[in-house]
Amino acid sequence: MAEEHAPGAQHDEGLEGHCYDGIQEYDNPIPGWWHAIFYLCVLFSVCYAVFVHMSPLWPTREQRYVTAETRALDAQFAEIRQYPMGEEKVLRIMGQQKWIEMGASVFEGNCVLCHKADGSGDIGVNMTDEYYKNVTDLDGVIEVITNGAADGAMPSHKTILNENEIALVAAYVASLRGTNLPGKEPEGELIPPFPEPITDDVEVPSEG
Amino acid sequence: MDQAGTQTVGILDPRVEPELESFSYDDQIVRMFTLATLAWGIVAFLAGVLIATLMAYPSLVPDLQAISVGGFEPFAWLPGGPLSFGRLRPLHTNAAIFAFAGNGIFAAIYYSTQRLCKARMFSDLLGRLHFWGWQLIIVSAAVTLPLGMTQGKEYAELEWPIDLLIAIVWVGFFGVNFFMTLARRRERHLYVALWFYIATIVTVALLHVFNNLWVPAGIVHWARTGEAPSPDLFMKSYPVYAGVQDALMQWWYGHNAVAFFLTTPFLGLMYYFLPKAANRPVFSYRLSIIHFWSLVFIYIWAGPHHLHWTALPEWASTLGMIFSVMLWMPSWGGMINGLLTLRGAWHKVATDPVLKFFVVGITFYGMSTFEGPLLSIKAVNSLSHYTDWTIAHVHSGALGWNGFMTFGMIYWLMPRLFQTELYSKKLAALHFWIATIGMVLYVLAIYAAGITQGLMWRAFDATGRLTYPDFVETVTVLIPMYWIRVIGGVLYLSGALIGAWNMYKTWKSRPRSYEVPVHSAPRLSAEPPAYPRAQSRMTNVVGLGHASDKFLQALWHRRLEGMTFKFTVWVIIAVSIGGIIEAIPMFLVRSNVPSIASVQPYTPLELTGRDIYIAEGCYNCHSQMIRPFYWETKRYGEYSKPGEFVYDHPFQWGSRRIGPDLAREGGRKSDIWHWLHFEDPRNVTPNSIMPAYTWLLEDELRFDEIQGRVDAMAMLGVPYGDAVLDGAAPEMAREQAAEIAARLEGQGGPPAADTQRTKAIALIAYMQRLGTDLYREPPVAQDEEVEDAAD
Repeated sequence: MAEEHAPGAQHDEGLEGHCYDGIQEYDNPIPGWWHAIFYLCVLFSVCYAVFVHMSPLWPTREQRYVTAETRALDAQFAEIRQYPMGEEKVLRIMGQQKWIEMGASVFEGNCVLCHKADGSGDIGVNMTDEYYKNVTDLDGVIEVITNGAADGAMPSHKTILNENEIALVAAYVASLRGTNLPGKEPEGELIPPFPEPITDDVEVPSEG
Repeated sequence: MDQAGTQTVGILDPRVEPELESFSYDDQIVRMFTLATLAWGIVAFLAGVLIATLMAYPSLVPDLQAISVGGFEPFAWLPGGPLSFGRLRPLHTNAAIFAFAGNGIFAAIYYSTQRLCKARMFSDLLGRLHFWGWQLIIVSAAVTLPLGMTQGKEYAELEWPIDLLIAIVWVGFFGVNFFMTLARRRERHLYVALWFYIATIVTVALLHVFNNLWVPAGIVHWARTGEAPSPDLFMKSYPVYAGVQDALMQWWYGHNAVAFFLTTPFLGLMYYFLPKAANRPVFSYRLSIIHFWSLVFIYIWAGPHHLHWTALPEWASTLGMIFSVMLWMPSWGGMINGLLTLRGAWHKVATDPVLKFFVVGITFYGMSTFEGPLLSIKAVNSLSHYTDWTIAHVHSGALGWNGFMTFGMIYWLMPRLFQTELYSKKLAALHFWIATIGMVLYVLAIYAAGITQGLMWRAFDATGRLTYPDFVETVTVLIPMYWIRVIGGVLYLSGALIGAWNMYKTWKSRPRSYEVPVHSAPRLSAEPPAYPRAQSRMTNVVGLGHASDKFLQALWHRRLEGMTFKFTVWVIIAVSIGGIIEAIPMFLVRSNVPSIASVQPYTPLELTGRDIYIAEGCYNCHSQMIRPFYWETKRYGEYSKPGEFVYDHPFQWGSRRIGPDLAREGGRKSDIWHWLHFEDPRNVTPNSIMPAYTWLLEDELRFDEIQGRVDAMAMLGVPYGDAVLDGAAPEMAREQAAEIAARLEGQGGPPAADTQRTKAIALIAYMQRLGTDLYREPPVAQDEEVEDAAD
């Protein structure tokens, strides 16, 4: 950096008249890169603001979210969302191991705090036995997950999980039945076994 | 060093014969502030080490309480509530900012202002009132924060009586004393350090006043019933702003507390003590001018970058981001002027601990003011926000910049204040090295923790599932880094203890009585001197070109430096513009916060539960703001809307997720889950690091004081309706509490009779309400909180 001084300033004297309690001041020029970066930042800022808020090419926060969500839901549920909600959908999910695993992931994110990671129950019921409190069939499992039960002891999940996630987790829970892990004592009634999982690979006509 | 009487004013009016006046400096007040700085610094670092340990070892307090030596329990007396992380974290931040850094800048200002003005402080008495008033504020903070008396706004936690005291001490004692000293100065021109002090004093006053406008609930209760409120209610206040607007005001304050409490006064400190210690002229006067004005003008706009991707309107977020980007070079102007002042003195850095501290301090300033703009970029912020990255950033600023500049100053001051040799230069160097190593350990570990956690939150596997759906996994993985932080903190604290020993030994060898040198300088003439006028250096341009060339030579600035009042007015204008432009549309333009018909005020019980949430400092670990990212909505539910927070006085969006977001917690878990979780989080989440809140299960709620809370909220325009204004709030709260207690019993909890009067029930009522209004039917006729929307 070139040593330049304002007129009248001596190299080791600093600016004339600039002496405060012995502190002197030079008047060196501001480094060129300081100016350059500063102006570039200003230029960037103006362009950014104009482009982000006025250009139709730049999606809003909300639009971006919808795009991301649609893409994710397509990727995740493309295969199962064609089936209407109900017992048959759950049975079809139970028929494929990879879908049961997806159900297990929903379970891990939402249910383990009360039912424990292995489903053996804690605050919530033991799901590995043959006894059920508010449920007589698979539609009942869907109903309890969706709307809750026992005056809020089992919370409603309709604003927390989407329909496909409810079906996935219902299938996972149903798949735990009969594994009989030691945990919470059985509660409720012995109910008839759930129907067999549907494992056929027949393509179901898509609903379009 | 104080060559009084030398002809330092360059442009003297030859017609006036200078009349010499004699004066001396008040160094006793500097000694007092310096001692307080070091003492409170140790307290702040100790509190930091304690809360860092609570992160790494959450059951510390119960484990200590349980220690039994032959039936004797030496720590059984430890109070769980006041020692919980949520209450102690504000104590740590307030101690570090207002007690340690605060006393440090007062020491710097009282020492340098007198010398830069060639005048004793205006009033020794005001100085003492300032000192003792400030220590009283700190002690009040140290008592009230652990007791859970808090406004629930970060770095503005102190409740309304203390707010009033701060305003009186800052403006009435400190401000008056400072500006009257300037008015009586014998140095014509204000040196750059004083510009920064002026900006500090006026802006902090503005920030403090406008972010702390409230209605005290205890006073409302007293006015209504004529009965004295309990201490808790007496201290309780609600801010006049709510939701989005409160968030904007709070981060306008919060960010500019960093700017005008932790940056500008320290730049002033640097401009005085660095050239003194290096014995070198300041690198560039014109750079001082440009970076001062650009810094104070731009800084004030940057607050909204703390609220990226939240329910804050996007235009405000953009302003926050671009002004932060533009702030990079103005900040670096200070760093350049500091480091380049050392040209020709670098050989001294090797031997002088003072310069060592300054060099590392300024370097950390440069790093954190580069990192600040980086973090303000929305895309980066989406990763860093709510993680430890922010914590690492503020600590590189606080430990590196504020801490090291303060210690450098203290080591320079010690021999001068105590009029003896520094006890040990070697110990000072040891302090420097230990603190540096501690600081580097701290920030590296916490950067790693922040980025790790941020990446874990957003990780999806190939099938579109969250890779870490269980939040606690993203916390337990950080524990080893939290231990490294504890070690770093202990090292930094050890450094300060070594410094304290050094100061004690230096003080011990002070002379029997301090010498008070008498200086003399001519009184300032009433007439300002003649200033050279700028001449345009340009050719072939029109009038405007000549005018701007003359302006850019900044010779007018020299004249301004001689006029305190005008200078201060221009500072006020510069720091007001950004805040006004951001705040006014936010308050006046309805589309910024579109209302949602189904969002209703909290019931009296929920409101009281919310006050417990605030008192326990839950916001220090839990956010209430789901950002519009798929990885967030997948984990927490629908993203937050601005209209959901219109009754939130204060907003509780938080800034760090040590626990999961709670914006849509309502209805997600059963009442019994919450009850067991408060009793001990490990009951339901084995690896949780949350403290147990056993006292909430036992402490009784003051139902009789709920009316004061509701009335205060009603005064702020929350539509509670006539029923509540008739004094029905306690009864409504009792009914709701009985319902929840009955439900809890039905779910296998303790008998309702034992639980319905507890604080935990109110907190459960609040938890179960959170985020549920979006799904309710408008309008709501009843107050029951768990009412499903009709399908």
